[in-house]
Amino acid sequence: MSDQGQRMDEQVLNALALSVERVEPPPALRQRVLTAARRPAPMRLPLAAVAAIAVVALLAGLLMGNALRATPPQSGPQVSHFTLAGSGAASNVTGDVTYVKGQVAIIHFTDLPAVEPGRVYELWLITAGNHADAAGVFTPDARGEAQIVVNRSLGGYKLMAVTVEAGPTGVSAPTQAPEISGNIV
Amino acid sequence: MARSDPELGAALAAGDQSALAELYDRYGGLAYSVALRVLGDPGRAEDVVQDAFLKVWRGASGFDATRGTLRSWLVAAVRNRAVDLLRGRSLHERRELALRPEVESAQAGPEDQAVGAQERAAVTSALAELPEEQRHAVLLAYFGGFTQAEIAELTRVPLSTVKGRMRLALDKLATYLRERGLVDV
Repeated sequence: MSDQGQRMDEQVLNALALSVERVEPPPALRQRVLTAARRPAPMRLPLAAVAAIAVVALLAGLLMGNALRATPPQSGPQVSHFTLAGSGAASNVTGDVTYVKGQVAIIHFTDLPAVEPGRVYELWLITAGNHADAAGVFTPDARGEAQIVVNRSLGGYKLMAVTVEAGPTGVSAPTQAPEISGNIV
Repeated sequence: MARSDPELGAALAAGDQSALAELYDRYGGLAYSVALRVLGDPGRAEDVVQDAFLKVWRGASGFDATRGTLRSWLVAAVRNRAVDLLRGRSLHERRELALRPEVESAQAGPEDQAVGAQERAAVTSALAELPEEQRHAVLLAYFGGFTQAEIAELTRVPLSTVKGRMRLALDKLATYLRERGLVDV
């Protein structure tokens, strides 16, 4: 089916939600939502990601230790977090990214739709000039979760994105518009 | 003055808490109604609404207004999360929930009644014009989260028949809803 046909089906199915009888939510729900939004997002990192962070921290500690012998104290590795979000058929997908600046990014995806047999999700790092570098392939588990470690600097890249491509190794350039993406910060 | 949906999306992406409150005031009723329609359980519907709003709040930086509306993104998040929670229930219970008639005596707020009444009437009429087997197929898929293979098993017809019914139903709904400006592809 064409991309336009798929979008039409999505719109039609989404429109079915408008057929529901409107029910007033409990008044307390509004405050509950707003209060929850003020809390920081929980990081749901899998064991592999925790291990990867530990290795990075250990290496950073060793490097720091060596540096400390010769130079004044310096700050530790800079860690930032940002989010990838889905649209279209992947509208429910979230990707939580933990990035140790200049070294490694760990991405944990949730609510990924299953891919057809022979297809994989492929992660891309995209420059401001719209050049995409492949950064790995993955498939979700039965709960729709997946994690991927990008063992490189994200310097020079503007966007992180995901497409569905031919497996098992992916392709060298994206063949479709990404449905999951986010700005690298 | 109320902000447009794209303006609200930009404000959410910028971390503006007042935008989240505005989003809730605009679509909280619809979100809760959809969750309740899928789950039939007010407590779990509240959980789903909270999860969906947090997903939109935390993923707002990836929102792309050219791929869909803020409302459709939120509603898809509600529906998908609610369907996730349905999966632990029996097929019979899921079927009953998906195909149950609307509760006409439900209490709706006056604002929601005014805003949603026309759209609801249009979608309900479109569904009513479908032959029963086509209507059941789309209701089971959307509100019950059934795959086409599960619908085939449930209704004891070949998978190809279910696919045909879905295709016909979606095409008819698309034509009807496009004429009324509820889909735009």
